[in-house]
Amino acid sequence: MGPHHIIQTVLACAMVLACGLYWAGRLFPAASRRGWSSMTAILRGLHAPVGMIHYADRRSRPRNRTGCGGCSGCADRSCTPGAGPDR
Amino acid sequence: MTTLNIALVGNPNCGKTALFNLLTGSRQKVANYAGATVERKEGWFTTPGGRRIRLLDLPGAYSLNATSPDEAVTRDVCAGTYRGEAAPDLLVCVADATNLRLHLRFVLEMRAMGRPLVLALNMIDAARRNGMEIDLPRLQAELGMVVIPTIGVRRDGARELLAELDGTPPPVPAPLPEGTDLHALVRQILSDCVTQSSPLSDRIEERLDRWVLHPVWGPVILIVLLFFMFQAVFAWAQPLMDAIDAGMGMLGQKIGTLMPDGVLRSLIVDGVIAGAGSVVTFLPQILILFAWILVLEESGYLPRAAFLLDRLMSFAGLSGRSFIPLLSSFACAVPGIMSTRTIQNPRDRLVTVLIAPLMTCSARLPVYTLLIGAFIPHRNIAHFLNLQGLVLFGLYAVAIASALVVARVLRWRNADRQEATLLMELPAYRVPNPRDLALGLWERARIFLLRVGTTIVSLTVMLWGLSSFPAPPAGAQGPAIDWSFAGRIGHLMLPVFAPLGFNWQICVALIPGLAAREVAVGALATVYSLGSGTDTDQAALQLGQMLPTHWGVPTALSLLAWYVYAPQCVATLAVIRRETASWRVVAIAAGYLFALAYAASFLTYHIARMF
Repeated sequence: MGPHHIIQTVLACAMVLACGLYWAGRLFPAASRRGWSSMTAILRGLHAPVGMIHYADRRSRPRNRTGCGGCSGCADRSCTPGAGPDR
Repeated sequence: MTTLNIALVGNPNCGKTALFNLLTGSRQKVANYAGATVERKEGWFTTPGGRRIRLLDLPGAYSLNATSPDEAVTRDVCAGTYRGEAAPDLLVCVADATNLRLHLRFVLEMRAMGRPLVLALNMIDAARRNGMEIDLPRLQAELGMVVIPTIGVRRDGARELLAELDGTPPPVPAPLPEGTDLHALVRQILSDCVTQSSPLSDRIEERLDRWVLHPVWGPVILIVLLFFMFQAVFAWAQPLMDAIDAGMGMLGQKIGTLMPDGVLRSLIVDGVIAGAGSVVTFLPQILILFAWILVLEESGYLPRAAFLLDRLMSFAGLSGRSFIPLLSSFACAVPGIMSTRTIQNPRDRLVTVLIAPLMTCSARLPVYTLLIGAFIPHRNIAHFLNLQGLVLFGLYAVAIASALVVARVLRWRNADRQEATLLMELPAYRVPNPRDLALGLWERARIFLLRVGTTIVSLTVMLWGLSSFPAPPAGAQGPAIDWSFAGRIGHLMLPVFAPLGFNWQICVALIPGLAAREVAVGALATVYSLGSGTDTDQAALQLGQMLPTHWGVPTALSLLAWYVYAPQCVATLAVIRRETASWRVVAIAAGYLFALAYAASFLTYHIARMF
């Protein structure tokens, strides 16, 4: 196996892993936030660039979601789950 | 300077959202029918004088005595009792200047709330065109509040309103005497402040309505309109689809030749380009479908269609009020289910929520058109009817008929059945604004491409991973994909779906379809591309030409029948849970849709095999 094969395999695995993490974040947001919180601590410990720390910190906080599971069909970015009518 | 909290309130379809979009620069959905907004929307802007404004767009309400969940939101926000929302500093009551008889009553009701209030007399240009002359100073004096003319669809249509917001805050209007007859007061104000010459547009509308709402010609016009809509989806989109298809083919070929052979090349060519590229091809068809829907929405035809379908809906135990949520579900069941909040009767609302997933959402369109294009001959019937368009129309019709039958069954089981009379405001006809149409289509294209770039690409990359690993053992026979995780999962599912004529590749494609139905197309492209053994094979991009060599017609028809009922959409199930606050309803919806899909596919497959 040549070096370009190894590079290709590493990059392909990284892409699959990134997509897996993206879906894990969508399906299990609470667990994902805990993961990002740990990542923030690790990045701080490693004195990583401020931008990376801010990014990880932002992902570790709950944010306003579309509330619908991400269909995006309604293009409605302001319908937070708590904003629905009282039942 | 402190931020001013302002809420836009008013009757449905008076142009609140258009004004909201104009002021905040948002692109919230506007439509020419009541009930387009069912939730409070929030936006920010700064006035020319530098004042920061937080603006709320509230659902339309006919009265503060709320009869539906969306009206309750408006009532609660205005009264300051809405959870997590302080009472607005200023209410901007929007009224349609062409329909003051109806809208002024709500303005007077708002006045009784005892909060700072301004009246925005919207669509003032349309009122003037209709021959109405409104004495604004007198109207202001009689209503006891500041009255500002606005035009929500014109760039400078809110100039006077912005100037008012920069000035001193308006006073709280004096309360009306106890026991005032609001209807009588409205009549009095109108006779004092408004003069109306006989408008030509009223006569044209009457003539149009005579045909459009005719008991015989009305339904005929509706069927013809829908029929041409589906014909257009096939007839007009083909050249653009071919161009995108060719572009994707060239891209795949270029990358295939530029990159050295290896795993990453396979991921990009077989995963991303074959998978996501095959879905992007359907963009023109989706846009044509939405162009028709937007024109019907903007023109004011849709509420008339609801009125026409009231009798048909009442056969199913529903009222015409369910029509608009069901129609919204043709775009996506999620906003459709959310817009059931305009339905007052809780039972009607629940039944509408349960049948909304049966409406053919745009995510099914790529699956339909792929299978129809691959298996239904491209020929005309009676010289002008495109057979493929006819089949597409048939699929939509079957879905609608099934929804009505399911609604009938659900209502039949319901002991406390009550007849509901449809009371609906018919808006004025309007020539659709080309800018609004272009913005609407751009928004649809953006959403679709965003979805392809996130949901679909990520799923096809993951599916590529599952289809490529683990590699087959040394000396293994057959395609490598048979040894992969995806191959094994597909074979594991096969005993359940084999009676429907599905092969293991279809079984695999059904799984990512849970996240987005159209991913099934990309998944099939990836699985067959990897299965073909040559990763730069351009056949991967011509999925429609490849499928007939792998499947029979009965399998294709069975898969079409499956997708008419297709229960697998996580977003739909999530919004059902949110809107009904019940897992039981989610289980019922998923269960009955799966049972219907399975039964329909089974019957279709076995009947088709007889021929």
